[in-house]
Amino acid sequence: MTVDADTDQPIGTMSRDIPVFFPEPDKTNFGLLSEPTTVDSKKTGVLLLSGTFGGTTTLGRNRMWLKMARTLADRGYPVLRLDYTGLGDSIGDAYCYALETPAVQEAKAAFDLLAERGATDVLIVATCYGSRGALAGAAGDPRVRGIYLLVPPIRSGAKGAGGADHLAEYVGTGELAKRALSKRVIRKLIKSPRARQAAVRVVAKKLGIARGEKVDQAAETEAATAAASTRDADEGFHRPLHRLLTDGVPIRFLYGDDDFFWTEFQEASEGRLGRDLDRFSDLIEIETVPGVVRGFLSIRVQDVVINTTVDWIERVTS
Amino acid sequence: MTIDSTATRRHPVTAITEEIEFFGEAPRMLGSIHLPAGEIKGAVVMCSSTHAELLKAYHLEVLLARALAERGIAVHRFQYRGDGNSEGTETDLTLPAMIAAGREVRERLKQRTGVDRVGYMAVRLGAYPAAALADEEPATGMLLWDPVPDTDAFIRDAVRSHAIAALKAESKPDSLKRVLERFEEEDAVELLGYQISSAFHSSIAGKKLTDFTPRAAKVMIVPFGSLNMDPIVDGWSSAGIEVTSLDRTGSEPWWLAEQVSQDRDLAARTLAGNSADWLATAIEGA
Repeated sequence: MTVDADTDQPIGTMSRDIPVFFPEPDKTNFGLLSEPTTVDSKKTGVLLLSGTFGGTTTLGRNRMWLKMARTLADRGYPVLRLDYTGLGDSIGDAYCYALETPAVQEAKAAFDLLAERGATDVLIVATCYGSRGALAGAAGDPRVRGIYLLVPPIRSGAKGAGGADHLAEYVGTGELAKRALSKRVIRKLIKSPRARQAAVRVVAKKLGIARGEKVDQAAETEAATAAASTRDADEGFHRPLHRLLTDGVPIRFLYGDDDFFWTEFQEASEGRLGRDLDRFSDLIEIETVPGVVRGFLSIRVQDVVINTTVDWIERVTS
Repeated sequence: MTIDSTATRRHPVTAITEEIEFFGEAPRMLGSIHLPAGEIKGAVVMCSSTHAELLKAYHLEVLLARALAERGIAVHRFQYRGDGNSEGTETDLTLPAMIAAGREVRERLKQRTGVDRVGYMAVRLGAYPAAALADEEPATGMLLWDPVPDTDAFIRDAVRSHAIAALKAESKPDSLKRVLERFEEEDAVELLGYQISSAFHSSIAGKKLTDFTPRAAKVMIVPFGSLNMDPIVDGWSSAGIEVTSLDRTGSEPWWLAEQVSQDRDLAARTLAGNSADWLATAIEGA
């Protein structure tokens, strides 16, 4: 049974979930509002923006987003989680959900909905694709009081290609060849068209890197390509982040020390991202935990994420 | 702002009405009813799978529900207590509870639509409640996406997938034997980042889909992976049911992919459309 670590009560016993279609008039998106039932609703609303893992973006692995929402609602916060356009119970066509096309409209509509429910400001908790919607949607919006980014990617690229890109960029040719000749990998290549596509991507990218070419010239935006070649954060990440920090909005980062996004974050910290980290050090918190956080693959990691989120929200609003 | 307990939307293009609400006694279930714009020609209870499979097939099920509603068939989707966005915890999820939930949904759908005999659609493990419900009351038709023929093999595959994931993370996985022992000793076991209660495991262990004999004239099976559906086809055919299984040997189980893309969305819509054509025809002919 899932219980709140502090109250020892099953989560969701002091709150209720309400299904909503929004925004008016088209009601494109589906969302679930978790609201407290035993205490007055706090004036700070919480928006959860997940990645695009699975056919609905309201749940996450092992219902992690639901557990986070109900835990927070039990403590008095109105919390909204939603299906992006084209996913889950939302309508519209699915699109590529690339980092270059963040869910800004969904984020803005969610701020409006929380405001209509009485929230005077909003905290955002986001990961992966959702982290770009959080940054781009929040930049310049005075309602946003803080953002907690869980393993955010700082460089653009086709989603799902991160692993292949990482292998090409960080693993030597000899080591890659050795891995490719292992029985396990050969079996996978024979069986899985997706594995073969990934392998082709690794080889193509490796050849490109060996020739000193820029990465994904045709597919990426000019800014993303330039950022990739300099190992800095791309414009889509850096620009809204800079704006939010300039406006005094606190940002918290969580990475696992084995996440390859953490490696990229550290490298980018040597560039302009690092200058912002220094300049706005009073607004930025960075926490790393052992292992891999991306994908929330174990219950231990899911618990870490939920607990650090609750702690951060209680601290920011206290 | 006041929000109704039921979220209602009329689709701007198809004029299908969608109603989503929590219903039933606590812990309540989250259910979605998809109603045709015109005359209701039939009704379908959609039985999802659980855990990771619920998540992965979620949008595909929405697309199928909408495709059926466009063909005049009302659809009731729902999530079992303790799973998905429904209320309850992991211990509320067992096979008898899934069957009871489906029964509750069937009666609710009949009341909502005025239809007295329903059809079923199910995904993976959802085939068990669907077949059980069709066994206890005649059904107008049944469509199964990649049904699990044998739950022990299903558990074995889940443990194997967990072991592969653990090895990739450089941790030492438990053997199948040890995992099964742990289900006996502990309240729950973690598999692939999901908390699987021992109550759930013991409720599904040792089951075969052919333990149930649906009272439906026609059943369509759409396999997505490499599972052998012959035991189901043979078992139910010998009971006089017209069972069709699509031959998709060698096709990639793309629906298990964790990321959505435009290509997969097109494939999903095609599958949903073709499946809806078959089920709507079966229901109207019943």
